[in-house]
Amino acid sequence: MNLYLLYTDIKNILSSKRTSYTILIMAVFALVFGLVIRFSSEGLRTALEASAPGSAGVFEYMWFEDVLKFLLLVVVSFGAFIISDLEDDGTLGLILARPESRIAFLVRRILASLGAFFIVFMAGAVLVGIIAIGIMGDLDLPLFLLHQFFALPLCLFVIALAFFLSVPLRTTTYTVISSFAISLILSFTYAFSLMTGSGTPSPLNPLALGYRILVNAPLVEPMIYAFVFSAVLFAAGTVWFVKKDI
Amino acid sequence: MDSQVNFSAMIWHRTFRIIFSLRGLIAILFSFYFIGAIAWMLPTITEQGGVIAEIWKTFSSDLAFSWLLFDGALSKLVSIFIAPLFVFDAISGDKTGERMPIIMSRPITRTQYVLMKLSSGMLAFTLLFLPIMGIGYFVFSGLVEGGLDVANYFATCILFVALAFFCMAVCLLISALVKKNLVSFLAAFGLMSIAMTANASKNTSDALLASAQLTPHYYATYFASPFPEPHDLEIMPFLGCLVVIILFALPFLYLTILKFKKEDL
Amino acid sequence: MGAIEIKGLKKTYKDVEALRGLDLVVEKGEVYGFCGPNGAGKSTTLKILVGLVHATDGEASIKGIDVINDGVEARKHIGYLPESYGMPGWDTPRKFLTYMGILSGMSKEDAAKAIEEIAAEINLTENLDRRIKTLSKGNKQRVGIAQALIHDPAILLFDEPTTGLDPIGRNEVLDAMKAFADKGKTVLFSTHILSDVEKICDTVGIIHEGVLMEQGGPEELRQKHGAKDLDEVFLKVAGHG
Repeated sequence: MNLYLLYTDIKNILSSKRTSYTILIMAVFALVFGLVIRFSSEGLRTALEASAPGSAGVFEYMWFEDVLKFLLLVVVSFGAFIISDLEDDGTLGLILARPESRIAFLVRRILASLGAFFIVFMAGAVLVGIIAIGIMGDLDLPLFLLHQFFALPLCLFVIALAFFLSVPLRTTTYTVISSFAISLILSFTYAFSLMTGSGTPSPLNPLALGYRILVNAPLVEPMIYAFVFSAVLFAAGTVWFVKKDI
Repeated sequence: MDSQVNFSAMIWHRTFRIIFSLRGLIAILFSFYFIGAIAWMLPTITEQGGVIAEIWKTFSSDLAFSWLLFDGALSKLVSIFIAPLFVFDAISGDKTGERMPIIMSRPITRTQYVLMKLSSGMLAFTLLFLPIMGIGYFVFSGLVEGGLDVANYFATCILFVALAFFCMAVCLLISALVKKNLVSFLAAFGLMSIAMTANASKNTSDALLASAQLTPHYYATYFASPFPEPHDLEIMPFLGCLVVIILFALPFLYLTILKFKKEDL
Repeated sequence: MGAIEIKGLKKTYKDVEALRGLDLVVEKGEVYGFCGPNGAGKSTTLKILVGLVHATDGEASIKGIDVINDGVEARKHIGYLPESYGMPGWDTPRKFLTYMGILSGMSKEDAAKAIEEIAAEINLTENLDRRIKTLSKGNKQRVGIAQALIHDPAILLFDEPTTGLDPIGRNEVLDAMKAFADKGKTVLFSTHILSDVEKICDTVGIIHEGVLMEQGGPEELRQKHGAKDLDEVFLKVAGHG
């Protein structure tokens, strides 16, 4: 693999508007939800603190339970853009005409997208933590960042799902919307199962990883499932892409 | 050729294209998922602790269910996802797909074009939403103790159609302002998320209640929510809520038409 | 009264003066070749006639109808083929053309009849029910031409209709435009392929930097400038000969 090309791809993603929008959206959500918690009535804080399971504070609880669902819309774009943005601007054909196999091309693009996402997400998380501390005063920043790190397999699954759907759907917009819809359904499924008192959500649902982090539930098994499902989606998408006519 | 443009044919044509498309499928699947999920949750959710069980104990089952369905779920689903889904690329899509020159070379005014996009989105939404909610009524009636007040249920459905009108007017303006479809959808989603936050938290403080009253979401859930207090369905308040929601939408529609009229395509 | 009349037409985009007082008349039933270098103002002129772009100043009319103040009425008589355009790839030409017909005020039945007639005329019948995204460039251009003709307009405005087509495709488009004019339609098409202009045009207009520099029949212009072909006339008028 041409590491310079990989580095160039990562640099392109990091310098794109998508990156700045992602960090901006994370910051805005942190601000809005922080202010809601800060200026809500005592009753709400008490209710939230009662709901917030485990050692997570109110902010982290809302972050994982509410904000992450909205953030998925931005996360899927990293998966959708692996090939969709090249299709959108018409350069896919030009790039695939180069002396590089489709598999090598895809592996490079996938790694670049994941690498860039990791950097953006963690940088955004640092900013979010600083905003939360600034508004509310009490947040264990290292613990918050560690929890975001553990949530990465959830994001990996969502990116893999978006990539898989981008192969048949081709347009970025429909890929983003479809993968977001599926991610939301998976999110709601575990949330609804909690509301019916089913206990800790199934480890098979990658979208429940955030909640499991909050309640200090075992993480190894759901992480393995998330990695396996992601690998299957990436592999299936790759095979499909390699075989199809461009 | 000397003929009047068949406005209604244009609208119906586009409406059916929306319904029988991927976005129509997503909207239908999402809606049935929610009905199924709520129906599945209902028998046990009221037994669990937490806010929902408290509300079930405090208010009638009918009102508590309406709050859960409309205020808790649908006001979010409709305003931030389903309504934007139908119009987010109404204008930006024709621009990026380079269809604008061909379409606007037809004998239609720019105002007609914008109204056609909005009308077909609204019609598609209504044709999907009301029947699915009708099915939901029969599913939920059997599950809610004492049944559901049919008038209140469907009156709220109509207010939600008006809420979708507001959301679509906003999303259409965004679609006219931005060039890319994805940015249009993200902007619509983000804006609607912020707009519905106040109403979603209206029971938590007076400040948030006051903010909620500045959004159409509050009036859409007026008869379905026990917060700040329950309201019985009456014709004049119902019409008042309907008019208020529509009035919220009109400035956005006006701005869209104004923007689109001035543009070089 | 000409079929198309333009007087003192001006258009300024921010700092760029695309049109600086264009005067043009196209007579009824004429094939008018509108030539000029890239950026001369050809597409801008056509877009103003169709109402896509707002003129800064000046007047323009189609069949005596003011396109600036009564654009909708004017567009009932115009069939427009842009230089670049998109069509929904998943639709068939039949579906797409039906939609265009409805947008132009036709009933579904009238549109269906017109589609069959036009498709036979321009050799599109075989491909009417294939997805647009599977069609070749030449066939896509046929669909583009068909959408301009569907409502039987009196005036056809084509922006670079032969660009990107193979010689067979180009010939077919040129022959079609000539045939439309023979049926009484007025054809104004912009191009920088002057051999196309020499083949079919009754009148040629050469625009440069937003102003009509020269106008006349092909032979008339060649003689006036002592040129062996229109390419030479073009270069001389544009200041490169």
